[in-house]
Amino acid sequence: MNRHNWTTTALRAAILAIVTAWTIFPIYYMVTLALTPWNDLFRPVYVVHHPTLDNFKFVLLQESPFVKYFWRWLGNSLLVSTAVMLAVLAVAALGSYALARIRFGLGRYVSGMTLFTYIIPASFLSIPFFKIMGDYDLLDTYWALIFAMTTFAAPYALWVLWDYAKTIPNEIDESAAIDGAGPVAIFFRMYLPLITPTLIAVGTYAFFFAWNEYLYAVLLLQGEKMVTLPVGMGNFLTSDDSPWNLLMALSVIYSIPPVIFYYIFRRYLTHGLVSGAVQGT
Amino acid sequence: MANGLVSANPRGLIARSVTAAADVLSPRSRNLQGLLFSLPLILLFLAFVVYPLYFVVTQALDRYTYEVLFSDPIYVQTVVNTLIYVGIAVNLKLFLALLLSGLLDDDSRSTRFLSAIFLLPWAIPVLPGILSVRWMMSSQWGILNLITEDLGLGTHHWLASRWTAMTALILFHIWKYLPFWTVILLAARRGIPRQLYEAASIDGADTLQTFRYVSLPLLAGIYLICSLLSMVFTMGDFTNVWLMTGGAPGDSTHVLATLAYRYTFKVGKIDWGVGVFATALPVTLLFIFVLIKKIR
Amino acid sequence: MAHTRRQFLKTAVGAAAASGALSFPMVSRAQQKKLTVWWNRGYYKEEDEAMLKIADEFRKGKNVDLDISFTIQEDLLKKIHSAMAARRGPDVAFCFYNDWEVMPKYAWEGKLVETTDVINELKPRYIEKFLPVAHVYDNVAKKRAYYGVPIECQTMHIHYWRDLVKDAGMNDDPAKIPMDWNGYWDFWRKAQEALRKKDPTKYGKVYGLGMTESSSATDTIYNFEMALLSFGGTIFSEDGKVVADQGANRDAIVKTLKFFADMFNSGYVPPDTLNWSDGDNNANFHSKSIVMTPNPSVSIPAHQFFNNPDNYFNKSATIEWPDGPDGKKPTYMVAVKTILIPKDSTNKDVPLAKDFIKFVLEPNRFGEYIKGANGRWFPAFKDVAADPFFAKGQAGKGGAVDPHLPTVTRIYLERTTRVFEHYKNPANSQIYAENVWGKAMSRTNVDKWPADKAADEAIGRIKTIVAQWR
Repeated sequence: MNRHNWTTTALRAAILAIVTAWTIFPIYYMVTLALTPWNDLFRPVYVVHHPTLDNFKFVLLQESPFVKYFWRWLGNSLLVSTAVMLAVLAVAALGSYALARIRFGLGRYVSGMTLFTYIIPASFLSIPFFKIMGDYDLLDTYWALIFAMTTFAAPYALWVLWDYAKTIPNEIDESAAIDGAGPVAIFFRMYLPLITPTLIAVGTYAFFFAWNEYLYAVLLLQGEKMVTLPVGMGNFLTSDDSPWNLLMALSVIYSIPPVIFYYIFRRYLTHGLVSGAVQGT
Repeated sequence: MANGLVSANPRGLIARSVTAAADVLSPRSRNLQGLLFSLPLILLFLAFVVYPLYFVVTQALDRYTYEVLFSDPIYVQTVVNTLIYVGIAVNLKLFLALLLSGLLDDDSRSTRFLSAIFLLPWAIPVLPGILSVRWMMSSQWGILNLITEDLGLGTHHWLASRWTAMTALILFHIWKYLPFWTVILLAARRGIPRQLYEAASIDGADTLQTFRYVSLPLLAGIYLICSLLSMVFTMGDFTNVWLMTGGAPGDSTHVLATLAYRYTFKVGKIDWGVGVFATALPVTLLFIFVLIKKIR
Repeated sequence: MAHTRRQFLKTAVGAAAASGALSFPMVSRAQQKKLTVWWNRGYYKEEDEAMLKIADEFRKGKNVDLDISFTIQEDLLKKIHSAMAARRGPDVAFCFYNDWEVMPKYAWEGKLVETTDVINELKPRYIEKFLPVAHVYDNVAKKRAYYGVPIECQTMHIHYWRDLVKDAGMNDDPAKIPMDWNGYWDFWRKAQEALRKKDPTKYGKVYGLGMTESSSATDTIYNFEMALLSFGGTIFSEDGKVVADQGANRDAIVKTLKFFADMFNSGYVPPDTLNWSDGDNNANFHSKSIVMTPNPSVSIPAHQFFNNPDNYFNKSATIEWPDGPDGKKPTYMVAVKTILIPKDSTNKDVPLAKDFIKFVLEPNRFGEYIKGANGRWFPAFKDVAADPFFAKGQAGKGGAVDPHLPTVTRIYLERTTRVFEHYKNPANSQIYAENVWGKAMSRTNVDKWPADKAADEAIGRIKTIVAQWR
């Protein structure tokens, strides 16, 4: 590895430069468009000639029919994402406790079920899901969406928590049991505090899983005041005259929270999937 | 990470031979306890996975579904598209992830800096990314044509024809998901003991040989799992395709999920929508069971 | 709780007195009727506001607990589909897509309430040539009757830039544009050539004919149907059988496909047109990349009216589709927006639903609603259509004459029109959803198939769709 130092380094640098450019370009373009005034929209340029923050102003002040309900959409996205986060935390914490600490025979089936849910493409269940929700008159409510998102986000969350929980020695449970604590007490007073850092990471994952969701939101939400941000953005595509600069400004706003959080928590999130699989090899 | 946590535990590590005492509960009551804690998960699974799946299976058993779908040229095209999209996008992406993870497998400052930027496509939600790329490819106002024109390659109607649109889809897919899988493979690489590399280096192996005899065998397992997993996920892709082309031009760039949506809402036949998934069910279930076996 | 009879009386008297004092009597609250209405969000604020006002008047005047919600058409269509599937719909549904995608299908399935009585009552007011759109077949009751209430229309017209034509050195007066089939299409080709020759830098990429030929746009379907009519063909017989494969019709289809292919290959149509979505011809027109474009709604002038009145009044104009190769005046395809009443509704109060519809359609109310749409829709009623707004259009500064709306009105009132064939056979909604004709154009334009081969493929597909429809 010490030979060919110069050429390897140069080649490496070139490749990484290309990769960086490729990675950044669509994002750069999005920001560029967000800063482009309406008149310049139809003349592509490499750098914005007259950058303006007007587009952001229009979005935040809801000054275009396309963004009339921006704040409601934002609120809806926040509501749904928070609800999903809490639900996933509950389901995954309980489930991971069962698998990691209780170690029961039927646990095989529970983990198999979890894995199945994780792997099956959510879109394959989307249309039947839509039909079921229609039958139970749950369309255009947040319940349907929250149930759907929780179901699909919980498996990964559970897996990560389970993986983390495996590193906590069993002696801790055992000493607590000997002290007379039942499983519920152990769960609340010992387990939860110990997995808290991972809970935060997993909660963030669930929050943004719901934040990013498009298909189920589009299927299950219909009223224009009910929809979430991504659905509102998708509606731009259905019209003759959509202001793409506003759409890009909206995109920028919509992207900021996930970007920030993913950077903070990235280490936690890949850990679960990798170690689980690596241990298998 | 975890080790630090344990030593911070106030109760400390009490190595007692209390394992016998711990198995106080009978397997039966353990099962009960376990099921109780897993109850929310189980209920969600039954109501929102099994129940919808039941509809898909019912549809799969209806012969009329196959009659209608197989005689529709759009359906046939869609299956081809899905196979191409899944086959090329996933394998190309993972191969690149393998290579890139190799490039990034050191702790230099430049690597860390690059890894930070490299994560952006993954962090950014799906919609902004696609919409940006979609406008980029607009044949009249998009910047891509500006670039190709300046390079002397002329302008093209990128999302105009089926194959350029499919290529755009594949490229976008790689752009968005390459970072994630690179990080996974990188973590896997980091699990390879350094001594093996040192030993290979002492034996005089060059980069290619090191890769072939050291890295590859140890990464093969996880690479396979990642491939299968990514293939299943991509088979169900809706958002990327829907927002990039919506199936256009002329319903020629549909994949399974978008076709199902179209049958349900554009043609108004929800049964055919479910039917699309029904036809994909056998293959999907096969993948799932292989994966479950491999991961466990 | 009243325990003794006296206490009960006191309570009763008190309640009666109290309810008399309030303007919302408790007694009538219990009897108040409820109505759920799903209405399509309009393109203009004024449209929605007018509708809200009408809803309010109905609520107060008829003492009905009216729940009206506005949704954009794509979402509303989804809502309606799921409501129909779940058998739990609104009492009244008005979606812009009703006439193509909802009414024929669900009437066929026996899920809509028959509205023949409403139609008969309103018939004296109706412009009768728009009525067939709602005369659909109910496959459960095994009869053809009215299952919707048509209210407003859109049709095809052509917009062009007067200033571009003038710049090309040609006469831009709408009355002077040649309306014979060949002369008409030639006119725009000449305009393109003259412009490009005159100023290559400015007009180097301008195209004369902005004809949408994309399989991703409904504009294509309008264009095709209009041209097919010009060549004298039809797809369905009156009773819904496919007659596209019969001699004269097939010839007409082949000629139509050839017409579009020749036009595309002639170099006077932007090559991009193969991939235009419905908004792209608009965008190209606004950016002056094309001299003219056929468009089946008034969206282009409307955009100009709000953003650049100078363009609206002085620089552009609307004219008709040309006379056919046989010299006859064109027949226009008209899409008629329709209200419908689902059978499986929440309140199941059909008389009230019909009352509401009739209330909305009263001349003054409906007139206000439709004028709020700034000319986008044309009323299906004679009395409302007689409003000077439709004949004169928008008022311009300094008495400028509206060069768009009067032409549109003339098309509706004076020309032969045809509603789309969905009422004949509901399978047409799938034929349109698949954009069979747009695909046929792809065959001729991209795959370079001869027109008759593409025609036969399309006709075959139509027959399969019709056969599989159940």
